[in-house]
Amino acid sequence: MKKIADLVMKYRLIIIIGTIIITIFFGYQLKDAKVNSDVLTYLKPDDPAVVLFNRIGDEYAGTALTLVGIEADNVFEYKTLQTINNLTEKIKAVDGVATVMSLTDILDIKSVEGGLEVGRLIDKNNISSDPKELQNIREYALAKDMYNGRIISPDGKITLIIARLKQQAEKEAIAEEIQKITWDTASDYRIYFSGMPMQMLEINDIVETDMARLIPIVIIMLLITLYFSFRTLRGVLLPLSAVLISTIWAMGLMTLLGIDQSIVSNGMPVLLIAIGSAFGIHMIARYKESVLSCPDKETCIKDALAEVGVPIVLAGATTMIGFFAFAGSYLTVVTHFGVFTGIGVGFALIVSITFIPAILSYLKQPKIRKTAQGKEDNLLARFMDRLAHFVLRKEKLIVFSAGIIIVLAVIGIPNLHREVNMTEYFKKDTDIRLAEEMMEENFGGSTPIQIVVTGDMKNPFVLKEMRKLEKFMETVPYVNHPQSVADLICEMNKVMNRHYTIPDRREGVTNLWFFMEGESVMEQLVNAEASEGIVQANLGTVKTQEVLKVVDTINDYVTNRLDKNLIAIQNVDVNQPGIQEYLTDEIASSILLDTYKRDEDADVNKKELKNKILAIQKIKTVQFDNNALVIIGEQMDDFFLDESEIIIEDETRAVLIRRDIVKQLESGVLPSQSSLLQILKRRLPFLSAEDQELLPETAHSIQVILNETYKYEKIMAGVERLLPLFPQELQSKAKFRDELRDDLWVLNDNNLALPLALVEKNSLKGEKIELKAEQSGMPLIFTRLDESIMKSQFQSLIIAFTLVTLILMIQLKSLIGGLIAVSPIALTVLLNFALMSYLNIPLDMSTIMIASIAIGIGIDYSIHFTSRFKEEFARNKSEFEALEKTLKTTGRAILINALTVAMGFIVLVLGELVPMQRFGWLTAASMLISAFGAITFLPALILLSKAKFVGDFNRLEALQKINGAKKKFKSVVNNYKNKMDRK
Amino acid sequence: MRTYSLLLVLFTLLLTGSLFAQDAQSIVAKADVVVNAPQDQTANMKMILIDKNGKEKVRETTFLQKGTEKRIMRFTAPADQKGIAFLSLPDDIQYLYMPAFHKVRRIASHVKNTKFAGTDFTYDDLSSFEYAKDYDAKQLSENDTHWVMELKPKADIKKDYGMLKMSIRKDNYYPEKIEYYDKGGNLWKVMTRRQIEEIGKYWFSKEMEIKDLKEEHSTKMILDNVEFDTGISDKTFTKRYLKRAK
Repeated sequence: MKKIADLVMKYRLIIIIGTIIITIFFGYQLKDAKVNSDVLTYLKPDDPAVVLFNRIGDEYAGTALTLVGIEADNVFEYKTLQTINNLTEKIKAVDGVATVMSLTDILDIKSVEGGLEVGRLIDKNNISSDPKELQNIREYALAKDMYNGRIISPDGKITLIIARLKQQAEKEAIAEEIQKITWDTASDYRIYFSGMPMQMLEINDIVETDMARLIPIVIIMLLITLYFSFRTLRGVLLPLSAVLISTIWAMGLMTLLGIDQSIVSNGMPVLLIAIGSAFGIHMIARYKESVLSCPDKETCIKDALAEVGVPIVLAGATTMIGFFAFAGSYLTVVTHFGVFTGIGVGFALIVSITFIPAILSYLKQPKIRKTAQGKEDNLLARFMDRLAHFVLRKEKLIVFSAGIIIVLAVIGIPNLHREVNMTEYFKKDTDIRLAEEMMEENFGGSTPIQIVVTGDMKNPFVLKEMRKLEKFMETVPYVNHPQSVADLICEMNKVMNRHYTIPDRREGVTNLWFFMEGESVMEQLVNAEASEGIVQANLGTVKTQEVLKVVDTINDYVTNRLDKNLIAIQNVDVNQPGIQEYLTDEIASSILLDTYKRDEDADVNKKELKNKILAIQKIKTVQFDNNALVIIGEQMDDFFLDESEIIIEDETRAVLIRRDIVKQLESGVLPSQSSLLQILKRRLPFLSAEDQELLPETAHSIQVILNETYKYEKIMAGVERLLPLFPQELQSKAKFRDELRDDLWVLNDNNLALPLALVEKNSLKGEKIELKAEQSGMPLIFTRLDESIMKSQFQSLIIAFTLVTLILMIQLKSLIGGLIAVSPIALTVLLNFALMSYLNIPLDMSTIMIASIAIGIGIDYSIHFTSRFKEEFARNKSEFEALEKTLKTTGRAILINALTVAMGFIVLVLGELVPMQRFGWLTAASMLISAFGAITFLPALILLSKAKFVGDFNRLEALQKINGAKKKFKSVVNNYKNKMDRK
Repeated sequence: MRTYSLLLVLFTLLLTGSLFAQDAQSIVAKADVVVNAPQDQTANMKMILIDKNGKEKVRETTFLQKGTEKRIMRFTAPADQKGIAFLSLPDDIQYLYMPAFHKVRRIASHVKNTKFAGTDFTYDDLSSFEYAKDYDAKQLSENDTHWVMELKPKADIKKDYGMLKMSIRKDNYYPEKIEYYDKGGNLWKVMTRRQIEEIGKYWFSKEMEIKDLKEEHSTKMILDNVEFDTGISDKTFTKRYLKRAK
């Protein structure tokens, strides 16, 4: 150290100039400092969950959703719709926006008189101003699952404009642009912003304003502390400049290396200022002391540096270890934070032992007033005195209390919960939280969940499994509005064939698919090759614990319950053993999912349900009511008019054919193609040879029409049979009845997907359905963050503890000594976790760092205390005297230091982000606890254990024994004397 | 009809030679006439859809057209879509035949900006190629070979586009390229006609490409086996035929 002191003095000018140049250089770098709040980048980029998430973002533009909510008394008004349209079109034009969906640009599939329409819900070029027509659109939109709760709130008052951003886009910049456009275009309305990019933008703002606000406060706090400690300008300015310089270096270096600031590192400057000032303070304090006993200024500085050097380097090293323990964390931001704060501490150390002495050497030597002790100090001295007596008398009580803390902590720690969802980081009254609440209430949440399904998306059975998965998802708490290409096919099938189901043949699927080809919603749901699709849904909670449960539940379904060994069988004979039962079970479970999603506690007789389904399978005749027969009649008329293969010029003949057909149907049996052909031949006797040839085709066409009606009526009769099994409330719901119909529809299917066992049992031949599913989306990322937080916590704790204990063992040259010296820190860490557990404070990206920081900084107190105690003890004082002396000197310094550092941390409570607030006060508390532990628990433990590392307790005991023996001897002598006297 | 339109073309061609300043509107009208000149046509049409990653999807159809407004398009490939057929009739009446359900359905489309079958053409783009009817034309520039016209929708006509720029060949009045601008004035789509040949008495482009710059997607339509004026019966353009034809 002496050598370093010489060097510092020798090159003092170079040091000063060099420090200034380096500071300017790093300060200049700060102009490029950026904040990155994309939690995805906090995980390692090769994490499979991240890779998948990014791929989905890239290929389906499905991960960065920006939501703008517009609230009006009634959204369906000309003016409002015009505004929405303007907004939609303007947002579309923003660079980096992939697609925009809103009321004025959303796919609509509906049946219209005599046909169907695939178009837009509202034609943006022709927005109606007729209130009646708009009212119709409103009712139509609210009645449709495609819109209600997805794009329009159930009360029709809030509508969303959903912009999907390209994966590589600058998300915050786009979010900002969209916000600006929205304020410019729709300022008359209540506006909500939601979705990840919006949250990121908000967080960046907060991080920036927090830094700008908190840094001055912490500097002022430091100024006050320094002033009261030194009461000189240099005592205030030198330590302050040291921390500011080192902070600029650390942050500048970070920027230079292209590492962005994050929601974790925004505490860095405050931390560095609070921690780093200690080195400068020690340096200047020691210089003041040495001034009393040295010949000239330069020697004084050298002496001070030589004396103070070793302890502050040691203290700095342990603090750095506390931070470096985060290197290699599973969370990149935590690694960055740890490494650069550690480096910053190192910088503060270097600046304090080079730059400060160099400057001091140019300043006048201070005059030291020997009577500088204030009243406060006396108060503190008295407190220390009492504390010493307390520790001496109640050492067992202290150790016992520590034992209780350990027990409480061990009980509490398993209850620690984690928090990784960014939304939770905002205070409850922020716009983002209010928007999130609105989203949860009206749109089932803003967090997208995605299940990636691999398989032929045009295979009806893959689509059916996707529908099943969606139905299951609807029953998972907080999961809302699942959607996939399967729904679009169902929707198309409904307008085409009246039932919301997947056709049982591939050709049926592809024909329906044709309509949606090129629609932007398709690109969000299936890949170009149709070999992979997405089931997306909204998650309506921000609570991490609930999110984790949802992820687990869905993962369980995807891995365990989704049947990946289904075989598609053509023309299944349901009478083969087991098939009817299987079908019945499948239908029943589907019906029950539909039931429970509406009424969790619905009491349904499952056995009866299955019996009835079995009975419906066996229905052979369908009783058409008059209404149905009239409809069939009309269909026949239309058919003969312009669709039938054969042209019937004579209308009366067509009427006769229709009558014959309807008559056959009245019997409840579907006419066969041959009987239809007979009717045609009978009623059309004089046909040309060419027309004759058309008859079978015509009969076939008629049969197709009849067959469809027959099947429909059969299922509707089944629905009527099932209804009484369900609660009254459900029976009256048209949607529920529709779902029963769609659940039962599989009874009409000829082709089925059957489990492997059943296929083998009946020796059926079919085609295996390749199907795989995997969860993605933000919730999965949250689980990865959650796991990472746990791993990081363990890893950093173990590293910090091991290294620090090793240092202590080496310094004290004692195994036991190291363990005893580290024990106050262990206690502090446990108490910190106990506090978090009992006060319900979650582990998050900020709070996981408390423990390691407490170790890094708190260990200094143990080092200071033990070394002083050893020193005093070695001066042949009794342990009591040594303790008293240690507490009054070093103990006092420890407490002052802890208070200073804690004051620095407590400033973070004024920040806007909840995790930073918690981090601030908990770390402050940890500082005080570890200081207090070092001056109470540590001496109590030393006294109790009489550990050898502090010195030879027996030495004193031997002395006592001699004294005791002397006394005994004296008393024996006295007794003897007395006896003699009496005699 | 046939002779009439031919005469019209000749007449207008004569006119070009004699008058220096033809007004833009009539040049566009002539271009419409040239494009719509055949009385009927049959062809095999290949549609190539190209997405932003350059992935191609190919559709093959047989194509029948009579006049400017009656059209049948029947898909022959890929196997997925084989047999699906479209019938377009005047007044925006369209029918679709779905072989899987053996059903003909009227396709209503009050929103004409819906894309047609995954292509970059909207129903409106395809409904007719008669620009002079819907747009007001103004000449922007010209060179030795082309006029460039600016087309703006007429006051009472609603279009997706704010403006079109049409390059018309001077030698045969064939509109070679159309640029579609959105209402904000940004270039949105570009349609290019290639392989413009004289087949029989008509000028005809065998390849038409439309690029949607916003969606980074494009469609090529390539025609071959083109035949003109074979006298296709009106009966062909009916629901009955739509369902029957193989």
